[in-house]
Amino acid sequence: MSDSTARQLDEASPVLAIDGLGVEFASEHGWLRVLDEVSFAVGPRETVGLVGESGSGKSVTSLSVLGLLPRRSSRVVGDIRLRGRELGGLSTAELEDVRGREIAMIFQEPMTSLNPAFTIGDQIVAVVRRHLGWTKKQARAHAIEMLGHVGIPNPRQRVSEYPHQFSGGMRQRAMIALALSCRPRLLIADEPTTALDVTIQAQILDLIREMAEENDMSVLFVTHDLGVVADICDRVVVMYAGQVVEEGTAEEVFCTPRHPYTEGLLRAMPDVEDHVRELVPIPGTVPPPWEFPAGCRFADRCSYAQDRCRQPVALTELGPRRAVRCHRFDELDLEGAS
Amino acid sequence: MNDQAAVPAGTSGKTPLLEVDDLEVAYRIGRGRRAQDLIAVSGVSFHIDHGETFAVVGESGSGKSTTARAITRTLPVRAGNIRLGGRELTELSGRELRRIRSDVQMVFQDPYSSLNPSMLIRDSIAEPLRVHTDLDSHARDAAAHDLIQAVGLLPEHLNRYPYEFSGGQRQRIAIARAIATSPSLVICDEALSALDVSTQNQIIRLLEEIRQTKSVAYLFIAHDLAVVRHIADRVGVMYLGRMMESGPTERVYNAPAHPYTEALLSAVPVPHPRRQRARRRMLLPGDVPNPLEPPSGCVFRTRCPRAMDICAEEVPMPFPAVGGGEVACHLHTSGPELGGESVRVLSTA
Repeated sequence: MSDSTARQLDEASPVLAIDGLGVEFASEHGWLRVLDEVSFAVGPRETVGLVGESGSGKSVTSLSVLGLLPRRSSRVVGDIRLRGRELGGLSTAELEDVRGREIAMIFQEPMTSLNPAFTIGDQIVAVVRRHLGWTKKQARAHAIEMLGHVGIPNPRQRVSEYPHQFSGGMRQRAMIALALSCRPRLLIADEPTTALDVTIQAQILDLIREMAEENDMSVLFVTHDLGVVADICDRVVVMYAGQVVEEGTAEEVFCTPRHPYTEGLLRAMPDVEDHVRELVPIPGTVPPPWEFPAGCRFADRCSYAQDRCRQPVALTELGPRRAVRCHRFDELDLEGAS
Repeated sequence: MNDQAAVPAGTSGKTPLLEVDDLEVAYRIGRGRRAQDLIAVSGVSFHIDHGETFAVVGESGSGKSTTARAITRTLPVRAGNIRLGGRELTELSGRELRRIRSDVQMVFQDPYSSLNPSMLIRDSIAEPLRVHTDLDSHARDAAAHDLIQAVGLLPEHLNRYPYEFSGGQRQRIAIARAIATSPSLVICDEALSALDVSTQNQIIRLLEEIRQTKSVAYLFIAHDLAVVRHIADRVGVMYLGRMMESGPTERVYNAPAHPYTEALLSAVPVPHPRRQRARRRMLLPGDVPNPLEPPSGCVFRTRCPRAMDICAEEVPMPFPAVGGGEVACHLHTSGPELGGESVRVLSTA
């Protein structure tokens, strides 16, 4: 492939394309299907929010992209392509080249990615040397630069400190510095601000946004917080009980939702600027995978459900990258955020 | 000390249900010569009327949970007064304290850690009645039967164990247990934080229903400012162990009188892309200071975009805020003036 065609591919085609992803876990009841026909894409420089409550399958989706599901007790079908390259067939060694280099991940709890026994600097140095093959000296200079970049004061001194010497917000910044040290094309952020105080959350969201812009990086942002999505995401994929139920731009999904579950989430979400609107709960809870209904999975909790909603329902394309999984989408007039 | 409340603090002139006055709570850190006192809460005052919902909001380390624990006397109070129905709590001990505790119950963030995993739901719910009342086992059973239905679950659930329930259901069980002794005050310490939005609203509705039927008052300890706006009558904002401001919820949210409240509110994202992107954030630099070495004067001054010289020298005292409540900020007493009036209202946007 010539350089120019590679660049064209870069501009037009998605950084991440997930197509027909299904995941089964081994359980005492045999193989249990937890993800079903999940398809969506993350374009160049795009931030896509993967939204849903606990049990919706959003974290399993992001772990499959990284090939981090347990190999023996899980089965994966479907395609996951990173810049056109299929990740499914890669060996463990090949996957390790991709992780940290092309895809990086940050978590709610920074200590899942930081090793308490090594200094922050040594951890960045190890990653940079492993993936970019730089010398120790270059890597260390890069580590200091990265720490300064993510807003850690005194990076020259703090590079030799251990994770426990950092405060919660600073640890989150250090984790981001580590994740971005090899300039990945895609950052997967799994609830990275959920455990943080709001004033620190605001700082970290700004940092992720700046880093994505500076590095031409795409972000898959996994969260249950619609306020965070409204703040940082260009596009939204709403998941429910292991399926994608709606996809669109943030504006479309928030202002003209087409799935009753999306409407339900928006009506249940408190708004710090608005006390007049009554909070309407969604009755019931997300079913566990062994109780997923055979028909529409939301039907039991849906106030618009009819008999035909007991039948399985496919994802319908409403336009380019705009989709909904609902039998009644074209008859319902749903309420969006105001 | 009088048994009767000396000074009514409520505006109604009636004795408030709970009065907290100049509360100070300290933890001892380290041992021997290295021992140091960490002042977790200092100079905190507020009151809660009968049947009212008062929320204390703040970030980690603000002292909001410590305040709650001091009220239940599960932490020693170093200074100040706590009166429940006019009765001083800080001096009670033994049986008297136990009696008061049946009148103040708590619901925590994680019901799994407050319910005994090897105890049937029936026994968990009836336990406070066994400790605090003379009811026999029949009467306690009957009460458990009523309580489980009052929180929207079924009598058959009484014969199950905590692991058989979802997070939202467990929170309902914890609430049933908390209201078993008909307390006049229930303290909810981050009771909604671990729940998904759809479940969170179910629990908010339940608490509101209980407030109306059982005329209970709530002290809500929370970090989620959006939820608090929807549930609280009045709100107090804490930072580094001190009350920055308090007042009617709508006044505090619409016209925050303290720069910290303003920053806190501006940092909460709203679930609407266009509205959220148009909002202006007041970014606070840095982190919350080490509570072992709190800044002199106003504890917020090291991060405050409006700090003045006096803020490092004097601790600001509570001052009546325009529109109701109080604010502890020098801007209101020593700040710049406009047309002979202090620039009191910071932002009404």
